[in-house]
Amino acid sequence: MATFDLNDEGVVVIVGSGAGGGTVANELAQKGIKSVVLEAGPRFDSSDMVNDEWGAFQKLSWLDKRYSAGGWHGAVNHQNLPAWIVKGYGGSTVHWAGVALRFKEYEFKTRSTYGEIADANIEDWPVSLEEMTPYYEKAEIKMGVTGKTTGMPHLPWNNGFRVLAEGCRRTGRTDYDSGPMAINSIERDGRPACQQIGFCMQGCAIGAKWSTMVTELPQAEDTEYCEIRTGAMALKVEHDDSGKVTGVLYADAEGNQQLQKARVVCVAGNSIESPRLLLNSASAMFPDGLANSSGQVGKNYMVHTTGGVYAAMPEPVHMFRGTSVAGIVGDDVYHDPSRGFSGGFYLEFLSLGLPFMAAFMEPGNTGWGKSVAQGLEQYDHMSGVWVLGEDLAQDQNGVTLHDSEVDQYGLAVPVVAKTPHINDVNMTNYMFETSAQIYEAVGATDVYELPAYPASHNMGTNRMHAEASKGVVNAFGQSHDIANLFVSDGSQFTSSGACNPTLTIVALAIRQAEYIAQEMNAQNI
Amino acid sequence: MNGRLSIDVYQAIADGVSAGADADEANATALKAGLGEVVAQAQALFGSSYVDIPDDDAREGILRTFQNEGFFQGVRWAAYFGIYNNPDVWLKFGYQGSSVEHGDYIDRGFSDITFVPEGPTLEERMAQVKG
Ligand SMILES: Cc1cc2nc3c(=O)[nH]c(=O)nc-3n(C[C@H](O)[C@H](O)[C@H](O)COP(=O)(O)OP(=O)(O)OC[C@H]3O[C@@H](n4cnc5c(N)ncnc54)[C@H](O)[C@@H]3O)c2cc1C
Ligand code: SF4
Repeated sequence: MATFDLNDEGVVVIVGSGAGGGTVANELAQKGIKSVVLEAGPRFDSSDMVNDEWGAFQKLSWLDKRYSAGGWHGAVNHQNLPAWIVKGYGGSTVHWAGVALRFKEYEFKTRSTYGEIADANIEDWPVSLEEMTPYYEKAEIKMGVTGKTTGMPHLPWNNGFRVLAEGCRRTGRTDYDSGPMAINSIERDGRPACQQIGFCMQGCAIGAKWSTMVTELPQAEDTEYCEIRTGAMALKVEHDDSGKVTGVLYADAEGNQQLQKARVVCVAGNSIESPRLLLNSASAMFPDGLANSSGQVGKNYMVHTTGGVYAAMPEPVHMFRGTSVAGIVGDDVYHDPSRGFSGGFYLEFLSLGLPFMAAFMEPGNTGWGKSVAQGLEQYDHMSGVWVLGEDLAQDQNGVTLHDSEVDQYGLAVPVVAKTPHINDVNMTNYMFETSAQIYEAVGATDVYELPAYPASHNMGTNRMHAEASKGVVNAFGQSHDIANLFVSDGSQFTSSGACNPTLTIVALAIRQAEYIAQEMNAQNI
Repeated sequence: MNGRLSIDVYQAIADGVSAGADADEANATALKAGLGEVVAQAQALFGSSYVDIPDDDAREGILRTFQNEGFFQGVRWAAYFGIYNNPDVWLKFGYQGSSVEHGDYIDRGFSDITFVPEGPTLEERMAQVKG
């Protein structure tokens, strides 16, 4: 691995090593552009992965102080865990499930398609599906996504998904399959085929699942162009009198403050930490935080409209055997306001282990007693889905800084507010009902509805917009206000779409790295 | 569910709660006061001690009154961890726990149910992604 001097003004400093940051780092390294990645968490590799839900959670998660706020149930039931994010080498790609879906055309144009919606702050993206398609293809090849782009077959169907698929068939659905997944179904790119171990969301022990931990980061480190510093928490992005960013102040693993100089800064700390860093970087010149002339930094926080539906079947299913998300149902991804909501949704088969099922079946103080215990006695007969649909951006949902409490680095603790829109409420009811119908068609004897888990998909808090007054960054993730400051993670999303975000994060990161290289060569940044 | 949990599982939870109280005076005070309230409520409503109320729904109803109190949630989460996060009892629930040391589920029944159709074969899955 290369090492760069703190005073090297020629490097790109990337904050965060997850889907966005890890991809930008490797793409730049492959082009011969020097970068320093600052990653707050420790170094992980495949041997750190344990098949234990709470054990892995404790080991991998971002557990620095945070507050949940707003009207969602988690403000009471998950008071310090608004979101489920990894802190470490590879970011949340360490525990992501691998679903790798593309946005639909209309999902880039929500404002034009849905029109104005009261109490929502929806806008069109400044990019289209047509412009994104070549980058989606590059991302699919890079990540090894099953399907036509790579020619890799989808994964074999496990028990839990076979139950769901049969319900889909019996209810006249046609769009259900065991992919696209960024999990090797055959040996590819130096990584083995999935062995159906399960526990994908505790980290894949064999590297069959794509993560920046097993691909982008080690590949970048193998060049002479990328240094990854773990235990390095970015505290503040510095700028000069001309308003250009000049470096990043961070706390190193020993707790000492260091300033890494930079030619370009890419912020990729996921949608809570990225806006928090920009807000914490406020200065006399930028009193509302960096890149915030629009006032949109930290706003429009989106998480997907979600919940779980688990059905007890007449015979054992053993859903935990094999890939955690083993199948995707896409029949309901379209916009039809007559359903009572805007946007579409997916149903994704998702196995939970007994510990998580018991914790999330009925979170909160009421989740005990006979009905919960009897539900859990049916655990081995269950199949279930995670339902996820489009979440509308709202002004009131976002990340703000606590006015008195600070974390171990001395930074104001983030307060993460999420209040469901009526669109979410209507969509959730519809998704729950649809899922129950599917399972009842295969003979489900009981159906359990689980409220949203702490957010795994976090988006929108530094959104893209063609107009500088309505968004933080342009179509390349470049700040409208500061030319050499980029946002490289899911916080760029203008809308959430219905699908899981990571393929789009990676595609945007590939596109951004190309643009950064071009602008650096042209001496524009 | 494959049979009942043995009494030891519950005893271990109770022992854990007692040990927690022994180690922390504030905890012990809250727990004693809380249990006292449960006993008093049972007397007030049923004129008997809590454990002598025969109907389990009635017993649950009494506990529901106290479910937002710290002492109750302490016991509730101890029970949660002692049952649902306890590898020794997982098999009773049909949960097989850690898998990686056994290699995988490819040969251990990841797709062995018979009440719904099989998934597509490898050949079918290959054909699907061609062209
Ligand atoms: C259980 C689970 C399952 C998921 N499954 C899927 C799926 O199937 N499909 C899908 O598309 N998505 C999935 N996701 C979501 C996916 O993981 C995220 O969308 C994606 O990883 C986000 O990428 P990112 O670059 O924005 O942030 P991350 O990948 O979270 O990376 C952010 C990194 O930045 C670091 N960081 C933050 N702040 C600082 C700072 N100030 N200084 C230094 N470092 C910092 C963090 O430690 C972290 O490592 C899942 C998420 C979870 C929790
Ligand atoms: S099921 Fe497959 S992808 Fe998931 S953790 Fe196991 S081997 Fe990795």
